[in-house]
Amino acid sequence: MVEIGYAALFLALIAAVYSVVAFPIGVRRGRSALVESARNSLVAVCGLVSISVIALVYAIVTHNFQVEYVATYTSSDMPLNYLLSALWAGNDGSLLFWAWILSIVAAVIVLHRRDIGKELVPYAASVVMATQAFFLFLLLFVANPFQLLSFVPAEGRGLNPLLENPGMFFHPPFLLAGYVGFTVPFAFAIAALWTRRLGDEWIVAVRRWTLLAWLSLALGNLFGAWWAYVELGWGGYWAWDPVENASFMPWLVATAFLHSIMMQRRRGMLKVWNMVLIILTFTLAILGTFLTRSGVLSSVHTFAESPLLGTLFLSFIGAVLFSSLGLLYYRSEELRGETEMESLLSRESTFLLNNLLLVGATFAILVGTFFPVLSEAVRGVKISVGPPFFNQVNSPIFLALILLAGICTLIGWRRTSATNLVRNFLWPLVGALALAVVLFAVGIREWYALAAFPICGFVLATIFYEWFRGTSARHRMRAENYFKAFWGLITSNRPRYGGYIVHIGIILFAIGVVASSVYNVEKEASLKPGETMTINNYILTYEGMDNYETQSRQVVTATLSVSNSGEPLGRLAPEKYFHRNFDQPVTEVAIRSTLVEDLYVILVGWDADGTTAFKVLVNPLVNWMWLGGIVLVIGGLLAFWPERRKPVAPKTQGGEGR
Amino acid sequence: MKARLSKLLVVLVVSVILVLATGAVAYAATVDEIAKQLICQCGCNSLLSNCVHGECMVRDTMTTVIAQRLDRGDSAEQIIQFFVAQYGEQVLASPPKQGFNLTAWIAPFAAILAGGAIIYLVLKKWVARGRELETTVAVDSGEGDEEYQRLLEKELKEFAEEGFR
Amino acid sequence: MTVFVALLLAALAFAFVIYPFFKRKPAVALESAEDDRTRELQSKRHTAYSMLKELEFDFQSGILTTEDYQDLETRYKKKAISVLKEMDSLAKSADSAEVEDDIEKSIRKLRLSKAIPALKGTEGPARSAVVEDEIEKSIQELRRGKEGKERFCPQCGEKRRESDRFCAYCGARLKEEESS
Repeated sequence: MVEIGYAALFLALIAAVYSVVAFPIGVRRGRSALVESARNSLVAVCGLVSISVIALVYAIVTHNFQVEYVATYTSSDMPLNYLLSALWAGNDGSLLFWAWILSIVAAVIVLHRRDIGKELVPYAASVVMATQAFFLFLLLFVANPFQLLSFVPAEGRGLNPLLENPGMFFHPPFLLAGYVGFTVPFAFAIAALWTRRLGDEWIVAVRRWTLLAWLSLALGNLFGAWWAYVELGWGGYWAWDPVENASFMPWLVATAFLHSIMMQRRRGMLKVWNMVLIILTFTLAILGTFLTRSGVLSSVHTFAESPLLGTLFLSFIGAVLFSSLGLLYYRSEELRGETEMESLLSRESTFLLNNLLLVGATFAILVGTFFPVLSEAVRGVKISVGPPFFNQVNSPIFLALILLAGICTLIGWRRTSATNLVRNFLWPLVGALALAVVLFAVGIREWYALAAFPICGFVLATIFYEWFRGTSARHRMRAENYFKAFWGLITSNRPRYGGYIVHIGIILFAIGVVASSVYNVEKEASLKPGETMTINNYILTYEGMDNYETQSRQVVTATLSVSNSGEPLGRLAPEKYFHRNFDQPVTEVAIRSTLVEDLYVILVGWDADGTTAFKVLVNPLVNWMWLGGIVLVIGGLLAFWPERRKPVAPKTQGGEGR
Repeated sequence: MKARLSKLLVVLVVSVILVLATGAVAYAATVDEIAKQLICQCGCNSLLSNCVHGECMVRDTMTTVIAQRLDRGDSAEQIIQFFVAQYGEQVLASPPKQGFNLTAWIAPFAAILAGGAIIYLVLKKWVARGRELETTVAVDSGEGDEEYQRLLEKELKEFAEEGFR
Repeated sequence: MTVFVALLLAALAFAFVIYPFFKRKPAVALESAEDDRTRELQSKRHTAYSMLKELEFDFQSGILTTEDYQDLETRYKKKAISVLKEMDSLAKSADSAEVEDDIEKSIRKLRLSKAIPALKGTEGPARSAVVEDEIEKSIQELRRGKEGKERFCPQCGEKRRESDRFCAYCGARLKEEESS
């Protein structure tokens, strides 16, 4: 079975290379049979890689420990769900997963009946298959998931206990799917450059794919943050470690891309810039895949790998950048738009500013991530760039971005008169200032909170204000009641209102981040059974310690009873356990979550005499972050949701006037 | 004129925020606050306060040293200097704002400002082009346009139903 | 066993890839029937329409004043109309260019043809007169055929040319009608 898996990959590589070549030749020479053959070959790649995936999953599920991958990442006592997730637990498996998702995506692209962008598909498919060929090459010769050991181990090493968490089912696949997804807009962009169909076709063809990939990457990052928070046990959710940064950067640039293609569709502007953005997004996505694998910058995540893999990835990235930017340069004359604007104060300007800030933030993260390497190269001195740098540099940028989201809502396309500006901004601004005053009065003095909360309030106010006015207008015009009017409003222009909902999600998320970073409280205490500690209004009483054994671990639990302002709230039981196969003990945090705050208890250690050390945190508004994430996904799905369209054959001419 | 002023106001507000932000340095009076400025040297690459290894001698030692020196009356800067002397600059959680390291701090803002300048110049060019086109475009709608107007209305309605793609 | 399965896989994949070369039914048209200028106009049209919709939303939400809205709306509508006009004239000239092409082709065919039955038994000037008559008749038919009777694809409803055997939009096979 394992050999079949490998053979399938080999056949897939041949089929992929065939597609890469056959598509453009077939279209150029008008040989439609050749094009169809290339299409079949692409579908064959999908089938073959799927067979390969089935082979690996089969090996995992049947505990075939002679396969090195199975022995390293699984064990006989793992439940089925974690066994399946082992597919992406290690380097080779996740590369196979990448190749698999890409093959499915490619098949969907070529089999989808479309009216716009038909002519681009063969060229885009060729680019996708070239990427596919690269990954298949890696799988076959550098990172073989089907590598066999020379003996059959009695038992596998099992999953790293840190990975045994529901996050394991969502974080890697969404992240990987997000990376893969950006291949599609990139491929269509290259196809557009190649065929000189430099209008909007490629953008129409890729808008929804880009949205899906962007959503998937957002979800992957959110799950990662949530997982780090509940599992890693340091009370935080984002450490700005190189791998986290690697998955954040393509998302930021993709956000810029989603905004600036709107400019191209509405005003025909920024054609060259859009090309640059998508090339950058795809490159960063591949870089993200590479950074997670190469060990160049060590972090919690890195799957320590062979330098060969790193070199190959970097070469691929270099080749992609060189050829795509070169092609862009070659075609740049034809991409010149006839951009004209009316006023500096217009929505167009805010969009440009939005792009500037997003790319600026990406650049800041890039600088921070690679500075240690740079410093060592230039000065010979190793330096660390940790959270303080990223937080200090990025906070103002993100705050400005959020403020911009509010401003752009109320500025019109082309121009905005001063009267309009005043009229639109007055109430939200007043509200925000009032909020600032209230916060100050209540005792909040940290400048960052004083800036951030009113800004968030301002943006929320602008969004709700616009919704209100839009709904009222509709209610007046169509005599619908307010609920119907509102529903009609948001479904009448899904990308726009989906976008607003996404902004709301981001704001909720930002509020959560600011509150939990500025106002979190930490306390450490060593308690004997019966003793108490207080933090904010909570009183925690240490009751006692317990230990028990499961099949694979030895667990130590400490129980505390909790009360808040006198009211008993139950018990919390943080744990530490020792897994059979891993020397480092693992902490299991105990969290009590409400919408207002999290009570977060870590069992740090214990002495022979029963004195137990705890670290307790109170994280305000943390759950607003996850809530914001959910809202963001809802907004994204709304923006993505296709309108019901009658399947009409393409109109080639406008005024047919029959 | 008013439009210019409002835009200027926005730029001003944003710049103030940007400037205030990077000036964030507080006094550090507790072990935790100092630990947040150092990287645990056990190889985990996280902040000293966040090293999650179950048993970490390095973290424990470093934390004890901080506590002892604080008790002794050392200031935060002295304690941090001690660690830098012992482990090198890599023990600092973020590059000190001096010398070569300053480039890391400045680069992002410099890039944004430079980008902003470019955008400003490009926008001005586009606005100038827009003014030109307005004056040169002949504004006349001929007769026989009613048929096209009707067609336009019909297509606009269809467009609304077909939706934005 | 595995070797067998692997070979089977290879054979299946190979067959699947080779199959299109042996299919009887020719494949779907690769290029759509538009040219660069038409595509550019369609793009401009879409831009104008989406701006008009956006402006309407902005107006309803109170972001634009009435005068601003009306001014911008008129501007974009004018733009849209000029695009529609140009698209129409392009379409017409494309159509008439096609008609002229076909007529030229048929004329050439007729002039070279020696097998017109009506010519049997005629000689010299009489013969050329008959030929000219035939040509005139065919031209009339062609003109009628192209401009009078519009032909459509029965499957998707789009316009088709007389000489198309397959619809350029949906690929369906079309009935052929000889007209000469």
